[in-house]
Formats: sequence, structure tokens, C-alpha cells
Amino acid sequence: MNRVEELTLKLADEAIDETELTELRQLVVADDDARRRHVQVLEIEAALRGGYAGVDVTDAVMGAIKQRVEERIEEGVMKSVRRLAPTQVWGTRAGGRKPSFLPLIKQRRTWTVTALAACALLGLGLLIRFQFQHLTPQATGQSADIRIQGIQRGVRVGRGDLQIPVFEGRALQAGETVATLEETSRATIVYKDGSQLELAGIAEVMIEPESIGSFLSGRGRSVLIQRGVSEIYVSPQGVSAKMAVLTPHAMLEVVGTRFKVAVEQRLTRVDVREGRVRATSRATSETVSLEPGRAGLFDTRIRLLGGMPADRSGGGRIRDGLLVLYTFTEGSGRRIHDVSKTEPPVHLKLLGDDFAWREGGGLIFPNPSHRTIATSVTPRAKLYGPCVESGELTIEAWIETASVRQPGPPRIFVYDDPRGEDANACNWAVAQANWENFGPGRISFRLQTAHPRLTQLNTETRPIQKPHSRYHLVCTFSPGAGRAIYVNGVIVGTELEFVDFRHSELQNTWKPDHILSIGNRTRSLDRPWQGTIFLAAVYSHALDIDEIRRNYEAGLPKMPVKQAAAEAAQPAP
Amino acid sequence: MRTDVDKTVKAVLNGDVEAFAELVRRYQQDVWRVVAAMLYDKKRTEDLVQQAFVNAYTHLQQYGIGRDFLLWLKSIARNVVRQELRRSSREDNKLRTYHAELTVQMADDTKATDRRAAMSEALQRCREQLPANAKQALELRYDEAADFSEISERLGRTLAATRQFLSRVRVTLRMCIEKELVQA
Repeated sequence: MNRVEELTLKLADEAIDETELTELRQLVVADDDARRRHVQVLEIEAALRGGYAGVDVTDAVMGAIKQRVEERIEEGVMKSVRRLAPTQVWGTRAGGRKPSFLPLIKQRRTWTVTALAACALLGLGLLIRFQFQHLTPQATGQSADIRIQGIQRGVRVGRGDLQIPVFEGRALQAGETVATLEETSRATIVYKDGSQLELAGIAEVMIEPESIGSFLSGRGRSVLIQRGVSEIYVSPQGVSAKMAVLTPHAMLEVVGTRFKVAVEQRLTRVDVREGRVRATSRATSETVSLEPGRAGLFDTRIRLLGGMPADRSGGGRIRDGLLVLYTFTEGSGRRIHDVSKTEPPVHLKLLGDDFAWREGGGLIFPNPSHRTIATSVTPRAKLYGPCVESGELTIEAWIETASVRQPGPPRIFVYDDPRGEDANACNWAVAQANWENFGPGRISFRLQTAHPRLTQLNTETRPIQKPHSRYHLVCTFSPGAGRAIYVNGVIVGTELEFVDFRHSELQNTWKPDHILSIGNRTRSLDRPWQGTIFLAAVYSHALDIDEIRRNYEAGLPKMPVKQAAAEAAQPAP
Repeated sequence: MRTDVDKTVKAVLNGDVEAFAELVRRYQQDVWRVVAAMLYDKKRTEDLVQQAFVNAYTHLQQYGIGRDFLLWLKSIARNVVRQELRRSSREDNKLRTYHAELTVQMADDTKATDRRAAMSEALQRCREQLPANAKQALELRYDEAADFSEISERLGRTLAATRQFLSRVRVTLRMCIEKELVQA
């Protein structure tokens, strides 16, 4: 982006100051190319804003015009009335007294006032009736099969645009929407038979929506989950009491089960804990049966996370799909243990002497030009297979950099080629971006896919502001969303290339002979990273933003040093 | 086409108010583009589009038969926006600056109009090619007329990151449009 473009966009965003405006004008006047670019950006901005919104204003315009015409006619009549002799109009008194049409107007006004009052009374009556019905459902003879309980902070119940008072134990009715509005909000929808639907964070659910009727064929209960995470427990009651859960991407049919549904804008994720869930993709109409421990992703197709344990943690760090986890609590020695508990463990070995252990946890690479590396030494199937199968991955690390200005790019965490000719060859690499090229404090994420144009993705901002401060880094990839970089739970880098990742399966492009390393580039040891690493993990799927925030909020595992030492002392297979 | 429009205009001038609806239907998209190009607020845009047509109706006798009706209509629409911005609060100062720049730089000659039509088509194609998050950001900014703080909240980014992200998306779009137009 050149300066003219940057300033023109600022102008369009109403974020330009006087100095910048003067600069822009000078640039545009002085240089034809700059002016051309300026106009081009303005034209695109105008086209973006002017994208026809599909609002047909014909009726509104014609209504306004007709009203104006009527007003004119009325005005004209009144003028004529005023011009005419009173007797000619009213035929009453002689003597030139001004005609009095006030009684007529008054009469009209009286009727108007009466009609308005009647409408207001009717409206008030309806409102009272509505509120009465909703506040006291039992009193009006309606059964209270569904209730809202466990309300915590920012919970709203509504019907369409109407907001309904909400309180603990309030009965819910078909067509009503329950929304939890804040990250810390909680609410539980409880059915008479004990079935429950827990909403946590920002979520929205509609009770027995009309749209689900045909799917259910009039039997059982139903909810529409519009967004957010819902933990669902359906009491075993037989087929007649089955529950249907509809999301924008999937229809789920359950009889006696416990599962979690997470609805994002693009996809729905279903994690089954107990029982079975029959899930149908709304995009393809394909149906799958999900068993305990399985998870399904539904967007334009169905993707099953086969063999992965479903998320059973219910708090703390995400474990679903965890492949390796290093917490660097060893405190001594050259071995870094994989504490993911996902078999087989992939322990790392420290090669070189330029490292130190931090008391309480953390591995320090103290020197800017060290030739030290923590590496898996040999290729491991656990790192390769699950990711190419799912086509997704997440790389996570807690770090403190020694400097935001490191040459390189200095490699923090890599899965790269230990032997080949190209020292840059990798399945993936997370690094600090070379500050000389991109400025200080950026993170870069390189990923090997089939797409030829896929290059290094850098953070759009400079999130690593301070040396010796702790930062949580997460890099994700999924075919639907491409690559993303998060720092401290906030997205700071995303894909902007025109890449269709659906044809970028990792299976065809990843190399199984690559190895996992920390602190340097594996083959040439010439991209040393200077800093301290406290945690490193790899998942076989792309964590969503809620999961990333959960890991961020969980912080570093508070494992006592003694316990860590004990675990570290266990022999590696 | 100009003859058709003139016939309709004459009918309206002769008292057939309903005939004006034809003109509204035919030109509302063009007027919408002119007004929306200067504003983000969709409701305000809709109000001003209506106002532009009502003004056109009120001053229809000033339209010279045989001339370009759309050009005349657009000038009315621009006046409506200008008046609205003049009336509005000091907060719109920067919007006024943008509007003034837009008016100066974007001449409404036939060549420019053709180019903009081609660009508009290219823009649609390029928007389609964007990744989902970029599409979402554009939708929020331009289709839902959300402000930056709202967009940053919805995207889970900081305000600064959102501004930068949207700038990058627009630069990417510009590059794609350039490419499309060259190919065309």
C-alpha cells in the first residue's frame, strides 16, 4: 500500500487529520500516477458503498409525492376558499364576515383524537394481556414444560424484536429466543423430563422454532441454535421424546445423549460425549452417526474428527485433538517431555549448549547467535498423520522474546526439513518476522500447502510490543478459513490472498520426514531465536476463537516443579 | 430510451402522478449509488434517495426535455447529500471533506460512467474471491454500515487491527480489480 492509497483510505474512513489531508493534496497535485491511484481508490470506495442494497423506494417516494399533491390541492382549495366571498362558500351570513371552517377542522380533530385514544387503549390492553401471559404462564393455564434457570449476567429472552422480562424459573414458550450476551453470561434451559441445554458465553437459542417442524414431523422437542456454544443433555425418554437441534449448518437428532454444539458463522461443531447423535448436513443432506468421543464439523461438507477424544475437560485448556504439549518444567537436563498424554509421546532433545532452564518453568535461549535447538531428532508419525487426515492444525506457544528486533526470521517453533537442500523447506514454521523487512514485533507463520501462491503470513499489526513480556501465540489453518495468527486471544493476522484452500490438502504437500524443533531452523541452525519459551503445543485441528481464548485464559499449566520433575524423570519410550 | 423517459416526464407534467413511479423504478439504483457513495448510513441513504426523487418531482418542470434525465437526477441527488451534510452536526466534518474530494475527483462523464460500470462488475467478482473473513469485514462495513468499533467487536480484533485489516482488504480488491480490468 503506498502513501497515497493509505491516505485516501484514511480520508474515506473519516480518519484523516489536517496535516495528512494537506499531504494527500500535495501528492495528488504533484504526481499524475498518485492522482490516478487516488481516484481509483475513491471510485472503489464509492462502488463499495453504493452496492445496491435492494431497497425499493418506489412506494415510499410515491406515497410522499401523493401526500404532497394532496397538500397542494388542499392548499389550493383553501386559497380559493379564502379568495371567495364568504357567502359564496358557506351561504350563511351576509356582511362579509370571514367564513368559519374552524368547526369542521375541530370536528375532524375531535374524531382524530378519539380514534387515537381508542387505538392507544386497545394497544395498552393487548400489551397488558401479552405481559400477563408471559409473566404468569401457569395462571393462564399454559404448561411450563421448559424453564430458564441458572441465569448469570446479561441474559435476554425475546420474541422477535420484543424483549420479555427474564427471571429465574421463568417458563419459556415456542418461538422465544434466549440469548446470553457476554463472555461470562450463563443460562440453562431446563425441560420437564430433566433434559438441559446450557448456554455459555455469547450464544443464542430459539425454542421450538417453526422452521424445524417438518424435520421433526410434529414429534418431540426442538431448538434452533443460532450462535455460540451450548452444552446439551437429553434425558433418555425413547424415540417419541427425541430432541431435534437445528443449526445453520446441521440438523441433529438425539435420543438420550450428552453433547456439545458450537455454532460459528461458517460452521457447526458437534462433540459427542455420551449416546449417539444423528447429524445431517444442511448443505449436502448427507447424514452421519456420531458416537461418543467423535466430533463432526459441518460447513459445506461434513468432516469427522476420527479417533480424537472429544473435549471432556469442561474448563481449562483444550485437550481435544492435542498431539504434543511441552511445558518446559524439567528444570535441568537435555530432555523436554511431551506431556500431552497422547500416545506415543514425542520428547525433544536439546542439541548444543547455549540454553538455560528458568526456575519454575521455561527454556531460555539467551544468546542472539546461538546454534542450539530442541528437536525431536527423528520424524514422528503422530505429528504428520492426524493433521493430513483432518487437513487442519493449530500451533500454540507461550513465549517471552529477548528482543523485538531480531534478524532472521528467528524460528520459534518449526516442523521442518532436517536434511534437504532448501533450508527453508518446512511443513510449518512459526517465527518472529524479520524486523529489518517488516518492522519489529511481528509474528510470521509459514505453512506448506498445495497452493503455489501461499507465502509467509505476517501479523497485520505488531503485537509483540515489549521484550521480556509474556505472549500467547496461536497459529491455525483450516481449508475453510485459511491461516490465522492470534496473539493473546486476539486475531492479528489472516489470509488475504485469493486462495481456495479447499484444494490445498496437506496430504499432498506435507513431507512425512520433517521433524519438530524449537529455537532454531533445523538444517542449518542459522535462524536462532533469542527468548524464553514456556509452553508449546500442536493440535490436529484448527481451534476456534473460543477455544483459543480458553487456552489463553487458562495461562500456563500450574504444575508443581516437583511433579514436573517426577514426570520428567519417567523414561521415554 | 431518452424518448421513453421524456414521454413519461411529459405524462407526469400533464398530471399523471402515477407515471412518476416508472422513473423511480428505473433510476433508483443509480440514485442509490450516488447517495450511498458518500454515506455509510443505510437508513440515511434510503431517506436521501427518497428525498432526491421527491425533489425531482417537485422541480420536474425545470428538466429540459431531450437532455439526459439521469444526469439531471444525479445532480439533484448530490445536492440533497450536500444539503444534508451542511445541515448535519460538526461530527460530519470529515465526511464533508471526503464528500468534497469525491465530488472534485469523480467527474460524471460518459467515459467515466462506463469505466465505473466495468469496475463495479469486476468488484463483484473480486469480492467473491476474497476469503471468508475479508468478505465478512466488507459486509459489515459496507452492507451493514457498521462502524469500526462494532466491526472490531464482531471480528474479535482490536480497533487498530480492524482498520488495518480493512485497508489491506481494500488494497487487495483494488489490485484484483486492476487485474480483471486489464484482462477484460
